[in-house]
Amino acid sequence: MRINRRDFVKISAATATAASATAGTLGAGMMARPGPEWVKSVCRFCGTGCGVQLAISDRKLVALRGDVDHPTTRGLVCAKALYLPKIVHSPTRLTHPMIRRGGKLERASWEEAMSLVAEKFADAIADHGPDSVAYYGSGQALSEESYFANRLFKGGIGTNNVEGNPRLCMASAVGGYVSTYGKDEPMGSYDDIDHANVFFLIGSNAAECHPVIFDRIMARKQESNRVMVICVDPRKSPVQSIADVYLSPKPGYDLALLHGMASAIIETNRHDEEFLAEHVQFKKVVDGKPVSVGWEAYREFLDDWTPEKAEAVCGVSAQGIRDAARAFAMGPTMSFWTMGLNQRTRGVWANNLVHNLHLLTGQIGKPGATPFSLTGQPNACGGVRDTGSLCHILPYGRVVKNPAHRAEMEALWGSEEGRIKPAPGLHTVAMFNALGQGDIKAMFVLTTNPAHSMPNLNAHRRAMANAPFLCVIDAFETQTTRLADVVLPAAMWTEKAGVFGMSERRYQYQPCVVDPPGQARPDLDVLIDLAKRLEARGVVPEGFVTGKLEDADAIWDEMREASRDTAYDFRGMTRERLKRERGVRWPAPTVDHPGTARRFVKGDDPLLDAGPYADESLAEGQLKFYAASDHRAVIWLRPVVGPAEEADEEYPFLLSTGRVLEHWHTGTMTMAARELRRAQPKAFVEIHPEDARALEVSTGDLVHLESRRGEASIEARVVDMPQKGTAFVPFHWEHAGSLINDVTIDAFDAGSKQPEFKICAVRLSKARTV
Amino acid sequence: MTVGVHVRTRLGCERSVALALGEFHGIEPIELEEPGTLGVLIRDETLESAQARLREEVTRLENVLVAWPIHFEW
Repeated sequence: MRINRRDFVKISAATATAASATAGTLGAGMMARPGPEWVKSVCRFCGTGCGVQLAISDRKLVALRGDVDHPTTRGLVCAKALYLPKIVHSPTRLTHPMIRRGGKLERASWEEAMSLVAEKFADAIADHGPDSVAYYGSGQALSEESYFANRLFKGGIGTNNVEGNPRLCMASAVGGYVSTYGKDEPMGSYDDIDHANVFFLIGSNAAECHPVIFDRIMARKQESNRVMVICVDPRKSPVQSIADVYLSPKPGYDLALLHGMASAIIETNRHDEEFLAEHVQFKKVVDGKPVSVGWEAYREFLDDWTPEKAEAVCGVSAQGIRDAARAFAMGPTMSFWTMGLNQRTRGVWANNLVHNLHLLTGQIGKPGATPFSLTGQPNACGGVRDTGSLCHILPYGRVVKNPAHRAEMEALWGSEEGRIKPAPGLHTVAMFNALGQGDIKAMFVLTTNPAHSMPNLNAHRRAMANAPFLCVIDAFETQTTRLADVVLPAAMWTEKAGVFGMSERRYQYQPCVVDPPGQARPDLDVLIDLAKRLEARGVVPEGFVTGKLEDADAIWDEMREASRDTAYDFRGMTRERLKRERGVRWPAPTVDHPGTARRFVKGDDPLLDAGPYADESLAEGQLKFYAASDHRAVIWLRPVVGPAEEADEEYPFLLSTGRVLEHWHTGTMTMAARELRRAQPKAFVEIHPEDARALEVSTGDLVHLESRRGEASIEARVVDMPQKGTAFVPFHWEHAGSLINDVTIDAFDAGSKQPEFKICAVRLSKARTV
Repeated sequence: MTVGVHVRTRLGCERSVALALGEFHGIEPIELEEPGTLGVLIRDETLESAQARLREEVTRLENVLVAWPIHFEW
């Protein structure tokens, strides 16, 4: 008998319940109680936003299963999600506030801790001005939390020193979308996977980092012999195993490859002249300013990037470039990328060049044809990017430099005119530099671990250690809490209610179903508490929060209102609706609008029907880049420039960092699950077999990695995955000598300010046998 | 402890993979409607040992492309 996946999940659940009822103490306990209650929720790891169902018994999580009714992830989850209940109920959770006294963190009451935080922030603002304080948040925080913190610091305190870890992972994707289409976020959705015939994965190890999306790609590939996968990655990640075309460019030089593909597309007349004439403009930067040029200028520019010339620079054969170009143009083509393009000093340009290929071929705005940046964090999109919680932006596509945008937000927030500063605040690297220089007197770090995740870590960790005042709120002890003056215990996933916004613009509601351990509190409660204390101390206007925004529901309503007449309009996503439905994709301006699978397309995108972007002249299915200048997306003529650091005689290898399936970022959560910890227990460095021979290194040997900034000693894995002359290290572990970010570089993209985690020069040597 | 696993196989290899999985003690394959997929129940003493069997026995089998856990009870 064959059954469907839905029935299989039911059988699996029933069998597991029966098994647990007949063995062990857990089973005996469950027999005595009624069956658990199942509630829908959303996974809180990567940006995929997998739908999950949680079994709750006595306010404890007792089971988790994929939600087969979820429209995009269809019942699949990965190993990390599987262990979330164990992580939530881990005995290593932080359970009470702590204050550093005499060099040691000691237990304190919430009142003591919050009084001290408010005092330090108020004193810094009073003595040194609003720009002497800073907030560093996270794509892990709920949307309401990020929005509220942004509102408090920019509109209440009056500083734009608001940053977060999405600067380290997605800022270049934002820069790419905004410079090409006028607004951030993908226009397509996961629906496109079911219609694509060509998948172009560049700089993405989706197999490990977005495994459920990768499964959908594989499912699509199994449906038809016509479906092709093109994989572009210097390292042979598991994605390469399903690729029909695999291209391995020299690290940092995929820009040449992408220009080479564009050149090959034009060379064979596979470009879409009609689409280009109707929807595209061409630009290049001259003397630091964008200048419009024409089609002929672009063609001439690409004369320097024929596949043969591109081969000479990027190391990929001209034939390989032509094969990829031919497939790309055939379509429908869906591109996916993530850190391999974003964590680069030319990250925005690399993003632009992927968009160039879609615009050149018209592979956009049609079923299966779209560029799609995969988000790293669960709520980098909805929480940080969309709410404008970075130093240069304001909610829902607004920017701090625009006086009208500032005025709109001041009016909505009830700030006096001029409260929001017109200049961007400090971006992440600059913020931690300022902390090190003593210019930042008080910093609030929320739900992230910069003392592990920042590049050039020695310098920035020193800054945190010597900071005048550092307050950290987290669910677990981390490298950063160990440096803090005040540590606050946070409630985490399922212990608080709110909204996550995933990669495809889908906002999903996460219910509060269990109690936090000890005295842990939701981040939002803590932020509201801080805001009220700062009101009382006179550094935030009276009534800015008190009596106005006392809970997440009220904040959500203000957020919906903030989206009015913007390209994000989600006023139709009421709290009640999100509780019922399995997420809604914006734009969704009215409560009866089903959400938008494809932006900028008449008939799909409701903003083309009503509101400031409406255009009645368009026919169903017609596309209009309404957020771009002149309503035309931009093909950029970007030069090819290499990474900040090249290999040389002194440092002859190039290091890249990344992730493994079982762990999440700095391991704060996944290391709390013994099974995940033991599945990938310690750091490793992948070395090509030829390099290993030359270094006389075997798998299991300890290898010393050294850069101009720092060093690490990590166990070798000799595998044919990295290119010869390169090494790869996942960055999850914090054992002594394993912090690979001591080695990485904090050079950053001039536009996005995102650091180049993916490339730096190192030297390797055998340390000793483990 | 039982873990429900979704397995993606090479097309046309569902049966052979199911037969091979059926040889392992405590592993029960279930045929699914979607081509190229199988459901698998792994029963073992602990979640960790079930996870290890998923990694060591299921995913390493010939013609298995990938295997995802989709349910577990803790």
